[in-house]
Amino acid sequence: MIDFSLIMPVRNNMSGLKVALGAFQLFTAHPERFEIHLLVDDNDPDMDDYFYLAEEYKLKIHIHIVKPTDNFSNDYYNWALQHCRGTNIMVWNDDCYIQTNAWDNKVRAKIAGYVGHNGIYLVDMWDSTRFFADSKIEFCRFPMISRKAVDIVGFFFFPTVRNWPADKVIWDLYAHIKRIIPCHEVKIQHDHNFDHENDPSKSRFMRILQEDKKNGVFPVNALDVIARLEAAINERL
Amino acid sequence: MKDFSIVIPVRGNMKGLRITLGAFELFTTHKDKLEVILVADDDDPELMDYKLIGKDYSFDLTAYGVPRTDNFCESYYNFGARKAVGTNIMVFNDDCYVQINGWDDIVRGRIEANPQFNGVYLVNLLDSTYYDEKGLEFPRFPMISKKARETIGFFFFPQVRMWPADKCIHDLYKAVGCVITCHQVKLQHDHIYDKNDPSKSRMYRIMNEDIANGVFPIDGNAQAKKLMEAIHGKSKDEASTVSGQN
Repeated sequence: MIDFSLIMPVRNNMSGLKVALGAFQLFTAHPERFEIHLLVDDNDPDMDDYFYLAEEYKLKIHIHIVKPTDNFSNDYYNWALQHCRGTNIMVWNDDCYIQTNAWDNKVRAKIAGYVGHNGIYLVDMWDSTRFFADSKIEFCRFPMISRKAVDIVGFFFFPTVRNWPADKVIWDLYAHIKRIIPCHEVKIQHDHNFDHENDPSKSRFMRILQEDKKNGVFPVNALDVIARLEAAINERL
Repeated sequence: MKDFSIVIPVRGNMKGLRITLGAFELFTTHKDKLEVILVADDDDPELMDYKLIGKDYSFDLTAYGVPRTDNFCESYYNFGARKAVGTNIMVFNDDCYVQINGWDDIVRGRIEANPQFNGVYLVNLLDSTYYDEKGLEFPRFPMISKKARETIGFFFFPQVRMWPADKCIHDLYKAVGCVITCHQVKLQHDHIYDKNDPSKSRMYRIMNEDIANGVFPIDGNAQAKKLMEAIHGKSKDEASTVSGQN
């Protein structure tokens, strides 16, 4: 049985990816119950190297080749759900690594303490960019959501929010239905290793965000999914 | 040349030690400039395993067996520190691990940014037990320059056999004014023993014996004076510290 499925889009950051994978290898108590899905652009210059990773790590690593698109939420994260077998789905970046030993045991124990959530929850782990750029707005950049919840709403991230702030929007959804499980003892270092001003990928993210705003994506209408989640939560009551 | 020597007393926690060493392997940028020194009791059934464990890691690792004593500071930490060849010596435990990638580059950068200490300093990393239950704030795993250790002749005050050796040595360097704060580097200290654990009870017993034997407060004036001289080239009258009163 797989407890945790991790989805990680990667591109041209092999050194960062190796730290991310190395940390999971070192700090995962039960690697047999954990799987990693790497989503690789079909034009990634590191393409060949990804296929050797499975030999370097004692982790279940699955490589998926995808067409590069601007819709990160839907074409990378949501797309990968079809391959995930875990009870819980996590999203990740290759500039990010787990810092807490036996993180999986800690999360598992925390979830077990919330039986009243009826299997519908978002697990809130503590990442180093939680309060980004002195902002007082608090939310987790790397949410973990139960498979049951994902199946009920039909996606991990809202597919209309192509990139930023998909994490904040999904946080707001689970906060609204009061189904966030804090697990702050599990720490994540997020290096945010791109340059805010000059890095092309960041500029690309900014462009996508601006386009989404212009196209009327925000505010996101979540009434339908809230109704479905609440119905599922109350099902047994 | 080694930049960092890590001294780790070990006993009966191979699983924890593997995490400690694995984190150094994963998160150290320049493993050729790192050495790890394990100090085990010579009657430890795992002593041979400690001596062989180095083959699994890229950095240099040496394991020593020493007679088991109650003086942790002198027999384990100070012993290991005397064996250290690195420019900087850090004490560590096997229930602790570094959490930041490139920690060695970060520490190196902080040290280089503080040339005014003339190579005599204590580096203050942020461990998860940094703020204790009394609100006292000090690093449990200090890093001290080899030059400073050689200047005063020890890493920890040898008369403080166990707790609160970390607090006493921090007080000394703080009084001298040569603490380099490097809280970007984080350490997880799992503190795996509880109050009912025999090893913890042993540590409490040792500390209480030290208290009963009048070990505290520690007079650090002579050491402070030596550190001041090493930093400034001459003594300063205000170099004075008394430690271990909390």
